[in-house]
Amino acid sequence: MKKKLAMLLAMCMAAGTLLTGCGAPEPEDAPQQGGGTAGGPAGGSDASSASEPAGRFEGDAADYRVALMIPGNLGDKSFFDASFEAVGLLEETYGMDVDYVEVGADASKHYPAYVDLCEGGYDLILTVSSNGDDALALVAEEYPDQKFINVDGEMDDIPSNLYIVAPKNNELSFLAGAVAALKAQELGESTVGFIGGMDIPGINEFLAGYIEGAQQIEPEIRVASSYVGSFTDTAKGKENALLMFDSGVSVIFTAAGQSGLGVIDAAAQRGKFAIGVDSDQAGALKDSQPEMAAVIITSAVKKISENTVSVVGKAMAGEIPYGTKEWYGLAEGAVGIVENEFYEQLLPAEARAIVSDLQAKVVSGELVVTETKGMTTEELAGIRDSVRP
Amino acid sequence: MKEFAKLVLSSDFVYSIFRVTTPLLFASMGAVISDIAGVPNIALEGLMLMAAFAGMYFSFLFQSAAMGLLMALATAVAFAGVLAFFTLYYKTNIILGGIALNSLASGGTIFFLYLTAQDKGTSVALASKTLPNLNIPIVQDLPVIGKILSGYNVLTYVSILAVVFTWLLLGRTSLGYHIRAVGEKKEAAESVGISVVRTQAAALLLSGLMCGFGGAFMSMGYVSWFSRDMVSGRGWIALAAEAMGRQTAVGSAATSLLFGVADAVSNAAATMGLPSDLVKTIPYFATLIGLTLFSVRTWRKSREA
Repeated sequence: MKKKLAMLLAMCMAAGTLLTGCGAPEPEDAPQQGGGTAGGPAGGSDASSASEPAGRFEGDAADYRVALMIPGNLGDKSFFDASFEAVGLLEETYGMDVDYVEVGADASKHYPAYVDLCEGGYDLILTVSSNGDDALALVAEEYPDQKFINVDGEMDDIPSNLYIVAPKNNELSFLAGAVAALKAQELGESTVGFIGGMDIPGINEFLAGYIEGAQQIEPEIRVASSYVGSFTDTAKGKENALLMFDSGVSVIFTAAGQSGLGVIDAAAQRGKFAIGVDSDQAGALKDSQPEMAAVIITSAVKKISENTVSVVGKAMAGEIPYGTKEWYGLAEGAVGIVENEFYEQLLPAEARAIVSDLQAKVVSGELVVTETKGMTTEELAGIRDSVRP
Repeated sequence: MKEFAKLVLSSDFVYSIFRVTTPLLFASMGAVISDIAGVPNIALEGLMLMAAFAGMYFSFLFQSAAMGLLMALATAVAFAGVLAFFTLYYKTNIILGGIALNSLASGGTIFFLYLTAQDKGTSVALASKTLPNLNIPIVQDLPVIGKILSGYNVLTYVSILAVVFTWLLLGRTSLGYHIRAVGEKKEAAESVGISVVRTQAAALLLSGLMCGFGGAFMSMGYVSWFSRDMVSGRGWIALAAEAMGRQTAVGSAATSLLFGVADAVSNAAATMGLPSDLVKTIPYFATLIGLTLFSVRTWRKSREA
């Protein structure tokens, strides 16, 4: 009897684990490629190692084998969903098949996932975010011939076979700050809000840029800021936002992943406004939750999928300087804000003109957004506290 | 600091406290009933999660909030029944059963979310219904009190009724006496003809019912969608509240409220830029002091005796 029980229970638990993993196709079992030797990039055998480390891909683009490793969960309507769009766009642009693995946030699963991919004979392995950095650094060392590109990351000691696209988070939130301040001005207010996922450097970069952008419009502006303490607790995100709206703030910029949905919901409930992040959140919500979409003035986005396509193109041409990172900002057209119908409805034309003027100034270099990478926690906290209401 | 005081003293803040406390109240009542019966239900978190999903999905399917609530309750009760079946008839360890249910809930809800909404994060693509806020006639027009007593989500009122129900059940009904007897000493209860299995099963099902309400509040009251792992540890906090409330309905309700207040204050503190992490320690700190005082008193008593 007891055995039967244990079996049933075990099945129950196994089902639980299995069900979680469903939905994401596993990388196909190591397809043996004709030309490429096991584990090595195509053309690796005859590439002279020193002079041209990147190596040009000679074959048809459709045969270039790319995989995307997602160290998070899809369905956040934000960051990881944005990176996933790159898969479709790559397939469309180059006619290649892109495999992807959705590994989840559990750091213990990142390393085995990377090893699987490295053994899968891909020419290039893409990843996104800094979640899997520890595993990436380890694996890059163990597979020195494998090329990696992180299309949205940050790392200090970059292995020689890894290239990092580092987006200027401060520049996209700079524009979000300007939009928020213009909306507040229109409403006759002098405070704007910010709700972040956690009090961590990656999020505070958004905050710093946001503050600076708001100050461009109104030097004396106050910025209320708060952290949910979680990227998944939508209810707590809503609670934070309701409190902030009730304290008299009318526009909140949220950089909190899924928790940000709670902020948008709170805005809809209180008749206030929100600015989304990473994906066009108004576009994602307008069919199913029109009342939520209608309060999203704009979303500050990184064009992760477009960047990925151009970076993969460069990789095939052998133009990627592996072992380095490069900044992608407004000037490169890699970040920006969404200008959709909601933006046009919610922000008057003069205000929009001011925003595009600011953007032009940053692009031309006339205006320099303060660099936030490398700022210490104290410096960031100092900026934050100096503008509190 | 003045801003902070203003925020905390506003009626909006009272709403915030009760919003935060509602799911904790339901879950801690669920914990009290099952724990007193001697079958500690640690699957509160998972049961709430399943109920939250069912509430969202069926309210979307039938385009009716009432139907959603009904199915949320049915789902939680059904899975509490599964737990009861395995632990009472097959004598599985209840803690293991609870763990199994929790992991099943976490993975299973995401699976069904993907099946129904083609999304592994949230159900915003499904236009589900929410339960209404209740404006109590006459009371809502009273100055000050009206603003504090009226206008909550209907489930917030139900959560207060749930505390009263639990208190009455355990202190005034024969089922309650049976539950307590069975939890205290099974053999003794059995010797006077009380069916242990049936009583404990009833307790677990009631516990599931409470979780059903709590879960429905998460996806149909607090917010208007389901998102993965949206219960976010509230079931575990309720377990803690129940333990601190020393397994009484009123005590657990009070500690739930304490957690709720601390959570709301820490949210407000975060908004004001005060170190919110520090504020979050208040309920634990208060409990620590409370427990110390309590144990000192018991110790003194035992020395006198």
